[in-house]
Amino acid sequence: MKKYIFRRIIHSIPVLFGITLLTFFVMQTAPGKPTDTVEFSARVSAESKQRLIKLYELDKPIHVRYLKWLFRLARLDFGNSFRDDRPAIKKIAERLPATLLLNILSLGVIFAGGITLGALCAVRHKTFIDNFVTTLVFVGYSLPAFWLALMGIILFGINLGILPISGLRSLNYDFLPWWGKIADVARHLVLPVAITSFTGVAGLTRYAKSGMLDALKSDYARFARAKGVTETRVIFAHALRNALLPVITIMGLSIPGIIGGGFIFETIFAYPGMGRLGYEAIMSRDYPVVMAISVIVAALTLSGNIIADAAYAFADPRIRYSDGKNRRRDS
Amino acid sequence: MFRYYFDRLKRNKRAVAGLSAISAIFILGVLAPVIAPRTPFEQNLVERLKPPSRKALMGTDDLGRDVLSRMLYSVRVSFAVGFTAVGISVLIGTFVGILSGYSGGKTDAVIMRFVDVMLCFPTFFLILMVIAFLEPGILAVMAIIGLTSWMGLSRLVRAEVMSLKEREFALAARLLGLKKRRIFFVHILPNVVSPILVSATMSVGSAILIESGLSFLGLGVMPPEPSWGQMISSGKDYIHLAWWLSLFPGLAILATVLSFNMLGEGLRDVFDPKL
Repeated sequence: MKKYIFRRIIHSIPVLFGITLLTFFVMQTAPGKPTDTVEFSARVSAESKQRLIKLYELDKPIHVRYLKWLFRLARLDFGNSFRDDRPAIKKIAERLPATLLLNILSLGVIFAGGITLGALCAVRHKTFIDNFVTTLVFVGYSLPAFWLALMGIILFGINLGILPISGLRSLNYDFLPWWGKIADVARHLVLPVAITSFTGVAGLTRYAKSGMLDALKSDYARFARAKGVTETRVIFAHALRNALLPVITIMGLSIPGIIGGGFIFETIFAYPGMGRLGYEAIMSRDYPVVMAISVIVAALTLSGNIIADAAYAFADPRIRYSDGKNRRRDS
Repeated sequence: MFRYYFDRLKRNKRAVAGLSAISAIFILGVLAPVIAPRTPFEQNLVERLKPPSRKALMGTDDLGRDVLSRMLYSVRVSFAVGFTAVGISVLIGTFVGILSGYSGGKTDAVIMRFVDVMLCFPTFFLILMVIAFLEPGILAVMAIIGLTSWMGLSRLVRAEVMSLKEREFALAARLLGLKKRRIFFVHILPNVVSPILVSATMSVGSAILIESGLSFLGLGVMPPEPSWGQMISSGKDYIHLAWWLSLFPGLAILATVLSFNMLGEGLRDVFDPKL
């Protein structure tokens, strides 16, 4: 097990390297240099222009700049934001907890909801419930989620007025007792979590259903029934555990989609997370912050995938002992 | 062979429903200049924010433009973006997948590491990043969606090709001394077409979703050119006054994407009865 995880981490080093390379490349091709604003200004002397060029090291060749950036990156120094001159990493660190809170909650909802619905459909295959859920899932998969978010805001926030529609805290947050604070944050989280996990649940239900259908039809399930195990036990103790295996990988692969969705949802809900910071940074061409977010998000995804692979190996001994040659999905 | 698939397709309810809906929406888009009650740009500031009525079936927007007409013209944008973007992504994905799966070894390892890297970035973030720095607009949207969505397909094609080239008929062809290129084009490629077709059909739906998301954020199709995502976005400022501005375009996106997904699922059933 340790060996497997170790090998998986070694394999991801070139990927991490590629992430930094791609981020740097995209940023280099982006138009606009820090010196552009003073390029044709008569009040700026040639000397100060040179000073700026030196400061941003625009006189150095591209690979030197990349390596220098990489070394600073290794010390988590992403440079300062163009907007308020604060370290990019600090701005992200402020926003990261809110984003992680939202994403972990959504992942939890997706996991619980998708597996429950998928298993339900498989157990009650071709009944009314199955058809109903399957249709719903199909529609959910095709919904523009940002539109769903808007409709949710109209219905629950404006027409019914039962849920807050933006931010993470009410205005009177500081005056609430501790349980009031928790309840306040929870109320603010209901809509964003529900909307961000909606399409995820739809997607996962399909995989969970087909996995569960296979498991219920398998030889070991039939054998368990033959020796007199109750159907409930067959479903929960035998079939479900095996059906969950592919779901783990799907979860790992869906992380970038969930984080990516954050860029649109956090903006709609005015949620104080990294997604909105990223959107604002992109719109204002705040390169250091964009680069930092890009690298951090990609690295988070990469570690999410490693964790998913480790969980898979933990659950399925065949992977652990196959020396990773036959069944590794990333090679 | 084609007859066989065609007959199966005709009997698949989902595929037929999806295909008919797609054709209907497509025809509506093509005929937009003929059937739309007004042009999508015609403003009428007296008739602002009027709810759906006989005169304007889907109401009017904040500039008094006819929502129904704008909806019809948006079909063109969505279909153009959907098909072009998927065309680009299918070309790249198939090429990369075949190259990787057929050559194996070091080439395969390098290509797949690159695919891993691309998959680590949330697609939407990558698109946002590139598009915000380029000039936003419909051409950029098509190109960027295509350039950032080929990875899944390339993995699929690679896996297919790898298993196909070890199969008996491919081995037999090799034993017969056929040229590599001939084995590839005559024996391998036709077998990868069906999974590509299924995945491409579904991808049209997601490309339309991405386009609407970008237009919603103001980075896709530029106003006054109508597009569903941008209509939802401009409707959101009047959400408490005029629900019809955001509701109808959203339903249109849903219907279109749903049809493509239904056709995709139907095609999967047709090509691969196992599932």
